[in-house]
Amino acid sequence: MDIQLRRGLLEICVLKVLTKGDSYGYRIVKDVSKYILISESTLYPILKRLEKNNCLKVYTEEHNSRLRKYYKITNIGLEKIEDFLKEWDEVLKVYQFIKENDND
Amino acid sequence: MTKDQFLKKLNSKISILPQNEIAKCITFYSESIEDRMEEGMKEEDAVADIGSIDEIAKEIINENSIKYSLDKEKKTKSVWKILAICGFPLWLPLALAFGATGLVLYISLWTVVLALYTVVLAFGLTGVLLILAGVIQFYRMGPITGGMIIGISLVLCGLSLVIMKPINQFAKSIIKCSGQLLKNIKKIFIRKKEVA
Repeated sequence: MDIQLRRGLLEICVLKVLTKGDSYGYRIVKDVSKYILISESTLYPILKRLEKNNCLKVYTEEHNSRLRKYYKITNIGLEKIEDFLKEWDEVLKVYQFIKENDND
Repeated sequence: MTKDQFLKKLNSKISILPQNEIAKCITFYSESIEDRMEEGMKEEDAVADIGSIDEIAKEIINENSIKYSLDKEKKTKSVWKILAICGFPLWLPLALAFGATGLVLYISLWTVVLALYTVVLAFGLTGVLLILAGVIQFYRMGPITGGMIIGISLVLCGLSLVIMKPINQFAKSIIKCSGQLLKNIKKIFIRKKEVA
Protein backbone atom coordinates (compact mmCIF):
# COMPACT_ATOMS: atom_id res chain seq x y z
CA MET A 1 0.00 0.00 0.00
CA ASP A 2 1.13 3.52 -0.71
CA ILE A 3 2.97 4.95 2.33
CA GLN A 4 0.97 8.18 2.45
CA LEU A 5 -2.32 6.31 2.14
CA ARG A 6 -1.27 3.84 4.82
CA ARG A 7 -0.24 6.62 7.14
CA GLY A 8 -3.56 8.40 6.63
CA LEU A 9 -5.53 5.20 7.24
CA LEU A 10 -3.54 4.45 10.38
CA GLU A 11 -4.30 7.88 11.81
CA ILE A 12 -8.02 7.30 11.39
CA CYS A 13 -7.79 3.75 12.78
CA VAL A 14 -6.08 5.06 15.90
CA LEU A 15 -8.79 7.71 16.32
CA LYS A 16 -11.52 5.11 15.77
CA VAL A 17 -10.05 2.85 18.45
CA LEU A 18 -10.10 5.82 20.83
CA THR A 19 -13.83 6.40 20.24
CA LYS A 20 -14.38 3.18 22.21
CA GLY A 21 -12.64 4.66 25.22
CA ASP A 22 -9.33 6.16 26.29
CA SER A 23 -6.43 3.87 25.61
CA TYR A 24 -2.64 3.54 25.89
CA GLY A 25 0.17 2.71 23.46
CA TYR A 26 0.34 -1.06 23.62
CA ARG A 27 -3.44 -1.54 23.64
CA ILE A 28 -3.82 0.77 20.64
CA VAL A 29 -1.26 -1.33 18.77
CA LYS A 30 -3.16 -4.50 19.63
CA ASP A 31 -6.58 -3.06 18.69
CA VAL A 32 -5.45 -1.54 15.40
CA SER A 33 -3.42 -4.63 14.47
CA LYS A 34 -6.65 -6.58 14.00
CA TYR A 35 -7.31 -4.49 10.89
CA ILE A 36 -4.01 -3.10 9.65
CA LEU A 37 -0.38 -3.85 10.43
CA ILE A 38 1.02 -1.42 12.98
CA SER A 39 3.92 -1.37 15.39
CA GLU A 40 4.97 0.96 18.16
CA SER A 41 7.56 2.54 15.90
CA THR A 42 4.80 3.63 13.49
CA LEU A 43 2.30 4.44 16.22
CA TYR A 44 4.57 6.82 18.10
CA PRO A 45 4.92 9.45 15.34
CA ILE A 46 1.20 9.12 14.57
CA LEU A 47 0.22 9.82 18.17
CA LYS A 48 2.58 12.77 18.19
CA ARG A 49 1.06 14.21 15.03
CA LEU A 50 -2.51 13.66 16.23
CA GLU A 51 -1.67 15.38 19.50
CA LYS A 52 -0.07 18.31 17.68
CA ASN A 53 -3.21 18.68 15.54
CA ASN A 54 -5.37 18.62 18.68
CA CYS A 55 -7.11 15.41 17.56
CA LEU A 56 -6.30 13.82 20.91
CA LYS A 57 -5.26 14.73 24.42
CA VAL A 58 -2.68 12.97 26.56
CA TYR A 59 -2.96 12.43 30.29
CA THR A 60 -1.02 10.32 32.75
CA GLU A 61 -2.57 7.96 35.26
CA GLU A 62 -1.16 5.60 37.80
CA HIS A 63 -1.42 1.95 36.92
CA ASN A 64 0.06 -0.89 39.02
CA SER A 65 2.28 1.58 40.87
CA ARG A 66 3.73 3.02 37.69
CA LEU A 67 2.67 5.83 35.36
CA ARG A 68 0.91 5.17 32.10
CA LYS A 69 0.06 7.65 29.37
CA TYR A 70 -3.53 7.57 28.15
CA TYR A 71 -4.85 9.07 24.95
CA LYS A 72 -8.29 10.64 24.74
CA ILE A 73 -9.97 11.63 21.49
CA THR A 74 -11.13 15.26 21.15
CA ASN A 75 -14.00 16.77 19.16
CA ILE A 76 -11.54 17.70 16.44
CA GLY A 77 -10.51 14.04 16.30
CA LEU A 78 -14.15 12.96 15.99
CA GLU A 79 -14.63 15.46 13.17
CA LYS A 80 -11.58 14.06 11.46
CA ILE A 81 -13.19 10.61 11.36
CA GLU A 82 -16.39 12.11 9.92
CA ASP A 83 -14.40 13.98 7.27
CA PHE A 84 -12.58 10.78 6.40
CA LEU A 85 -15.84 8.87 5.91
CA LYS A 86 -17.30 11.62 3.73
CA GLU A 87 -14.15 11.79 1.67
CA TRP A 88 -14.16 8.06 1.17
CA ASP A 89 -17.69 8.08 -0.14
CA GLU A 90 -16.23 10.01 -3.06
CA VAL A 91 -13.24 7.71 -3.32
CA LEU A 92 -15.61 4.72 -3.45
CA LYS A 93 -17.55 6.26 -6.32
CA VAL A 94 -14.34 6.67 -8.27
CA TYR A 95 -13.33 3.13 -7.32
CA GLN A 96 -16.60 1.75 -8.70
CA PHE A 97 -16.11 3.71 -11.91
CA ILE A 98 -12.57 2.39 -12.35
CA LYS A 99 -13.65 -1.17 -11.63
CA GLU A 100 -16.56 -1.03 -14.09
CA ASN A 101 -14.25 0.08 -16.87
CA ASP A 102 -11.91 -2.76 -16.03
CA ASN A 103 -14.60 -5.37 -16.63
CA ASP A 104 -15.53 -4.08 -20.09
CA MET B 1 18.39 -7.64 25.81
CA THR B 2 16.92 -6.19 28.98
CA LYS B 3 14.60 -3.23 29.06
CA ASP B 4 17.30 -0.93 30.45
CA GLN B 5 19.78 -1.97 27.78
CA PHE B 6 17.17 -1.39 25.10
CA LEU B 7 16.30 2.09 26.37
CA LYS B 8 19.96 3.06 26.72
CA LYS B 9 20.66 1.99 23.17
CA LEU B 10 17.62 3.83 21.89
CA ASN B 11 18.71 6.93 23.81
CA SER B 12 22.10 6.92 22.13
CA LYS B 13 20.55 6.46 18.66
CA ILE B 14 18.26 9.47 19.00
CA SER B 15 20.68 11.67 20.93
CA ILE B 16 20.60 14.34 18.21
CA LEU B 17 17.01 15.19 19.16
CA PRO B 18 16.05 17.77 21.80
CA GLN B 19 16.16 16.52 25.38
CA ASN B 20 12.38 16.65 26.00
CA GLU B 21 11.78 14.73 22.78
CA ILE B 22 14.17 11.98 23.87
CA ALA B 23 12.51 11.78 27.29
CA LYS B 24 9.02 11.45 25.76
CA CYS B 25 10.16 8.72 23.44
CA ILE B 26 11.94 6.75 26.17
CA THR B 27 8.82 6.91 28.37
CA PHE B 28 6.66 5.66 25.53
CA TYR B 29 8.82 2.61 24.81
CA SER B 30 9.43 1.90 28.46
CA GLU B 31 5.66 1.79 28.99
CA SER B 32 5.15 -0.46 25.99
CA ILE B 33 7.68 -2.98 27.28
CA GLU B 34 6.17 -2.92 30.77
CA ASP B 35 2.68 -3.43 29.37
CA ARG B 36 3.89 -6.52 27.53
CA MET B 37 5.56 -7.87 30.64
CA GLU B 38 2.39 -7.27 32.57
CA GLU B 39 0.61 -9.48 30.08
CA GLY B 40 3.01 -12.27 30.99
CA MET B 41 5.81 -11.87 28.47
CA LYS B 42 9.37 -12.34 29.65
CA GLU B 43 11.45 -9.16 29.67
CA GLU B 44 13.60 -10.31 26.76
CA ASP B 45 10.59 -11.35 24.69
CA ALA B 46 8.86 -8.07 25.42
CA VAL B 47 11.91 -6.13 24.23
CA ALA B 48 12.19 -8.30 21.11
CA ASP B 49 8.49 -7.79 20.37
CA ILE B 50 8.94 -4.00 20.23
CA GLY B 51 11.03 -4.30 17.08
CA SER B 52 14.38 -3.08 15.89
CA ILE B 53 15.91 -0.05 17.56
CA ASP B 54 17.21 1.24 14.23
CA GLU B 55 13.70 1.21 12.79
CA ILE B 56 12.31 3.05 15.82
CA ALA B 57 15.08 5.64 15.74
CA LYS B 58 14.65 6.13 12.00
CA GLU B 59 10.91 6.80 12.35
CA ILE B 60 11.37 9.32 15.16
CA ILE B 61 14.22 11.16 13.50
CA ASN B 62 12.34 11.27 10.19
CA GLU B 63 9.29 12.73 11.87
CA ASN B 64 11.36 15.31 13.70
CA SER B 65 13.54 16.27 10.77
CA ILE B 66 10.39 17.03 8.78
CA LYS B 67 9.39 19.34 11.60
CA TYR B 68 12.83 20.88 11.77
CA SER B 69 13.06 21.53 8.06
CA LEU B 70 9.63 23.17 8.17
CA ASP B 71 10.78 25.39 11.05
CA LYS B 72 13.92 26.24 9.13
CA GLU B 73 11.91 27.16 6.06
CA LYS B 74 9.76 29.47 8.14
CA LYS B 75 12.88 31.11 9.53
CA THR B 76 14.40 31.77 6.10
CA LYS B 77 11.04 33.09 4.97
CA SER B 78 10.94 35.62 7.80
CA VAL B 79 14.56 36.61 7.05
CA TRP B 80 13.45 37.44 3.52
CA LYS B 81 10.55 39.48 4.84
CA ILE B 82 12.82 41.47 7.18
CA LEU B 83 15.27 42.08 4.33
CA ALA B 84 12.43 43.23 2.11
CA ILE B 85 11.19 45.71 4.71
CA CYS B 86 14.61 47.01 5.81
CA GLY B 87 15.84 47.27 2.23
CA PHE B 88 12.74 49.20 1.19
CA PRO B 89 14.56 52.55 0.63
CA LEU B 90 17.13 50.70 -1.45
CA TRP B 91 15.04 48.37 -3.58
CA LEU B 92 12.15 50.72 -4.27
CA PRO B 93 14.20 53.20 -6.39
CA LEU B 94 16.01 50.24 -7.92
CA ALA B 95 12.72 48.62 -8.86
CA LEU B 96 11.40 51.92 -10.22
CA ALA B 97 14.56 52.44 -12.29
CA PHE B 98 14.36 48.90 -13.55
CA GLY B 99 10.70 49.30 -14.47
CA ALA B 100 11.35 52.64 -16.18
CA THR B 101 14.21 51.16 -18.21
CA GLY B 102 12.00 48.29 -19.29
CA LEU B 103 9.24 50.68 -20.28
CA VAL B 104 11.62 52.89 -22.28
CA LEU B 105 13.06 49.86 -24.05
CA TYR B 106 9.58 48.68 -24.87
CA ILE B 107 8.46 52.07 -26.15
CA SER B 108 11.60 52.52 -28.27
CA LEU B 109 11.09 49.15 -29.92
CA TRP B 110 7.59 50.15 -30.93
CA THR B 111 8.83 53.55 -32.07
CA VAL B 112 11.27 51.86 -34.45
CA VAL B 113 8.40 49.81 -35.89
CA LEU B 114 6.29 52.94 -36.25
CA ALA B 115 9.15 54.85 -37.94
CA LEU B 116 9.73 52.08 -40.46
CA TYR B 117 6.06 52.01 -41.45
CA THR B 118 6.11 55.79 -41.74
CA VAL B 119 8.93 55.46 -44.26
CA VAL B 120 6.89 52.96 -46.30
CA LEU B 121 3.85 55.22 -46.13
CA ALA B 122 5.93 58.28 -47.11
CA PHE B 123 7.33 56.50 -50.17
CA GLY B 124 3.90 55.27 -51.18
CA LEU B 125 2.07 58.58 -50.64
CA THR B 126 4.76 60.63 -52.37
CA GLY B 127 4.66 58.20 -55.26
CA VAL B 128 0.90 58.47 -55.68
CA LEU B 129 0.91 62.26 -55.36
CA LEU B 130 3.81 62.53 -57.81
CA ILE B 131 1.83 60.56 -60.40
CA LEU B 132 -0.87 63.23 -60.17
CA ALA B 133 1.74 66.00 -60.35
CA GLY B 134 3.40 64.24 -63.27
CA VAL B 135 0.15 64.05 -65.22
CA ILE B 136 -0.45 67.77 -64.65
CA GLN B 137 3.16 68.64 -65.61
CA PHE B 138 2.82 66.41 -68.68
CA TYR B 139 0.30 68.87 -70.05
CA ARG B 140 1.85 72.05 -68.62
CA MET B 141 5.56 71.57 -69.28
CA GLY B 142 5.63 68.94 -71.94
CA PRO B 143 6.12 65.18 -72.09
CA ILE B 144 9.81 65.14 -71.08
CA THR B 145 9.43 66.78 -67.66
CA GLY B 146 6.03 65.14 -67.10
CA GLY B 147 7.35 61.74 -68.12
CA MET B 148 10.34 62.09 -65.84
CA ILE B 149 8.14 62.99 -62.89
CA ILE B 150 5.79 60.09 -63.60
CA GLY B 151 8.81 57.80 -63.86
CA ILE B 152 10.19 58.94 -60.53
CA SER B 153 6.75 58.50 -58.94
CA LEU B 154 6.50 54.96 -60.25
CA VAL B 155 9.98 54.20 -58.90
CA LEU B 156 8.86 55.51 -55.48
CA CYS B 157 5.66 53.44 -55.54
CA GLY B 158 7.65 50.38 -56.53
CA LEU B 159 10.21 51.04 -53.81
CA SER B 160 7.53 51.30 -51.15
CA LEU B 161 6.10 47.95 -52.27
CA VAL B 162 9.57 46.34 -52.36
CA ILE B 163 10.57 47.45 -48.84
CA MET B 164 7.13 46.59 -47.44
CA LYS B 165 7.91 42.88 -47.10
CA PRO B 166 11.22 43.04 -45.21
CA ILE B 167 9.82 45.75 -42.95
CA ASN B 168 6.81 43.59 -42.19
CA GLN B 169 9.11 40.76 -41.21
CA PHE B 170 11.30 43.06 -39.17
CA ALA B 171 8.27 44.41 -37.31
CA LYS B 172 7.05 40.89 -36.61
CA SER B 173 10.39 39.87 -35.12
CA ILE B 174 10.49 43.04 -33.03
CA ILE B 175 7.01 42.35 -31.67
CA LYS B 176 8.08 38.82 -30.86
CA CYS B 177 11.21 40.18 -29.21
CA SER B 178 9.25 42.63 -27.08
CA GLY B 179 6.89 39.84 -26.00
CA GLN B 180 9.91 37.79 -24.99
CA LEU B 181 11.26 40.79 -23.11
CA LEU B 182 8.01 41.16 -21.16
CA LYS B 183 7.99 37.44 -20.38
CA ASN B 184 11.57 37.58 -19.10
CA ILE B 185 10.83 40.56 -16.91
CA LYS B 186 7.77 38.75 -15.54
CA LYS B 187 9.86 35.66 -14.89
CA ILE B 188 12.38 37.63 -12.85
CA PHE B 189 9.63 39.01 -10.64
CA ILE B 190 7.78 35.76 -10.24
CA ARG B 191 10.94 33.94 -9.31
CA LYS B 192 11.65 36.64 -6.74
CA LYS B 193 8.19 36.20 -5.32
CA GLU B 194 8.72 32.47 -4.93
CA VAL B 195 11.93 33.03 -3.00
CA ALA B 196 10.28 35.62 -0.76
